Amino acid sequence: MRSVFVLGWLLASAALAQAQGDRVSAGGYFRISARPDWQGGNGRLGFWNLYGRLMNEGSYAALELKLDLLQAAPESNDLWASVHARVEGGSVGAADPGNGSLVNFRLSQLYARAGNLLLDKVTWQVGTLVYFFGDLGLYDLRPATVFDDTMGLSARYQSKNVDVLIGVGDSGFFNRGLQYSPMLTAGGAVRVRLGDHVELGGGGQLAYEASIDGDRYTPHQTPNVAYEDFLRREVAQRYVQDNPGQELLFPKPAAASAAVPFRVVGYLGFGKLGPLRWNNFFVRYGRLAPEQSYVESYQGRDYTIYTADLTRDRYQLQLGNEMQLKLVPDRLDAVWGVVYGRDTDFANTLKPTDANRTYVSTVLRAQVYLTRTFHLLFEGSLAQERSSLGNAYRAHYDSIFQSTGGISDSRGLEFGDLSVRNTVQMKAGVVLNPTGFGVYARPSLRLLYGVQHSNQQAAFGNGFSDSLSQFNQFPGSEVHWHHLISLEAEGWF
Amino acid sequence: MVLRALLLGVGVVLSGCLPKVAPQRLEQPAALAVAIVVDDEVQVPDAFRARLKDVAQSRNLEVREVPVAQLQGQRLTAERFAALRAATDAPFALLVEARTRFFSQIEGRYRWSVPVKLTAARAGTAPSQDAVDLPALLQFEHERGSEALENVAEPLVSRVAPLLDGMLVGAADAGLAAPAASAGSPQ
Repeated sequence: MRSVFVLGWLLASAALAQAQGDRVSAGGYFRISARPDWQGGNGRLGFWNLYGRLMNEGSYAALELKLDLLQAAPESNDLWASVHARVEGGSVGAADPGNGSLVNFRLSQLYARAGNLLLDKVTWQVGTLVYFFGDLGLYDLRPATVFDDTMGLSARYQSKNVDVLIGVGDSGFFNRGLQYSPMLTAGGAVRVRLGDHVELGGGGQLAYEASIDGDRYTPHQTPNVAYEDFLRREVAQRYVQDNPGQELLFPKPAAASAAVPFRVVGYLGFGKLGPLRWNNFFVRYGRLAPEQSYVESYQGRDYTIYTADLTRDRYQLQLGNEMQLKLVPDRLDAVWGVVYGRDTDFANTLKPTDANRTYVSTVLRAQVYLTRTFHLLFEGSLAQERSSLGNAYRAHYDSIFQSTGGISDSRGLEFGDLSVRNTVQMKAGVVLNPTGFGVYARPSLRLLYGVQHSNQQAAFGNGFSDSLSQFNQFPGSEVHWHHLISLEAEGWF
Repeated sequence: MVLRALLLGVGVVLSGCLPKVAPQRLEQPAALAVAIVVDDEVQVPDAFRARLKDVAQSRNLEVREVPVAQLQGQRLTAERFAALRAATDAPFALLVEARTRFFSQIEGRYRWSVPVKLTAARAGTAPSQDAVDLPALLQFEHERGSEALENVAEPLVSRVAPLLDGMLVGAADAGLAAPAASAGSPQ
């Protein structure tokens, strides 16, 4: 009788509560793949996701835990609070060289949130502050992101039509790591919804890194450094040759002016118009934080070269657009993306690097729904990367390495015999989506075939020769086509 | 060689249409009273309703949705369910209670949590319950609670189905139409 009573009490208790989530919950993301590469590659079709994320990215996993410290009652404005922690990294056992080692993972985010505290409709966040306006899913790029490097405090006001985010903190550890230098960072973002069909947004962040007397990690510059010597890592050699016997008098670094890296982002979204589900356009322009220092060794002695002034004028521009289309409901969807970028290092006028280039790409993906869960996927991409300062790529397996104007030159600052890299990729395969229709419905189980053609020799991560000494041992052969089969899974949870 | 590849491809395609194990199914249609209560003023999307209707129909249950207003403003599950049963003479009843809450931005997605509580009973029996916290992965910031509900419709159906099946087992003993095996359409 007593047990019946207890059972009845338990059942009654279970029936009392409304639908409340657990205090502890978890979400995350994973992608894993098996891509044996019989052409000597490392399992990725091309160098990077400019050609579409599909088959150009490796394994990745993220797990975010959330603890509700206080749960607000439904339809109330009670105080609520939660703590989030995210661990993520790019390695999975047997899927990549890292073999799932936890060394490849990091606690990328940890923050506490509280709402209905002091101000109505405002969420306070202390900890990591990353915020983005949206995603270019085809590229796995989020150009309009702010505070991805900042630890601090933010307040976000949310209403039906307007969101406002302001934040302040320190991005020194993200940018400097062990060579920490405080970087006061402040910024914000505004998003405005104009009806159901249009959204506008904009924002940015500004950091300030001052030179602190006696702090070797704050901005300093070694005086009288010629840029070419810096590029060749021959500053110390030049000094010793010009000042024989005066190694101990190598110039001391001088305090440089404060570094002020910044970022401005913009967003335009529109959609829910006929077959157009949504279109996202993002723009981002910013100046990078200058580099700090590096060490040169010459004649058995180490020299630290400080480079704040040599590296402070590096800018990045990136624009991206992605359009999602429902062409035939429950039969055919398509996504079309375009990305343009320009990286500029105004101090460097001599050597082609990724800091002086333009790139443009377009990717089109179509997904045909044979059944609710069984789909066919087709994707094609065209991309061009152009070096702004001369040759940066090798066209043939026996192309020269160091060069000047494409002519062999062991002191040349150019590389190879191409200044433009053109890349074409095509991918096709079958997709199993247990949750049904949608290009981005997940989880997805995919069996894909991909092919790439590039005018660059072996334009994919590989173990081929990348120096003259290696070439003498492993000369290789001409490779412009790259074929790959991928068995992969991806999902959010 | 080509023919072999073609056959293999057809086999793979057909594997997506494998006949499903038949659900419990009544020989005669019966009414299922359904109330969907979503807190925080979230509109229930039609697609969400449609999936619930599909899973009921595959069991020969005809959904009769009871407006939330007829639950007389009750806030507790037990009293909501009692109000639902009082509002209709349907032999079967299902109460769906849900909340939608933003979780975090994860790898380009807006992740929401949708805790759902299901309460079901056939006439003359004690209610049975199931509760689950479902993740909704949305692509756009303007997508909110309603889209989150739609996003979890498919996994929610996988929780509703066994609850309904459990109700139908023994329906004959309760004087209701007896369940029968059928070819059964997919859930």
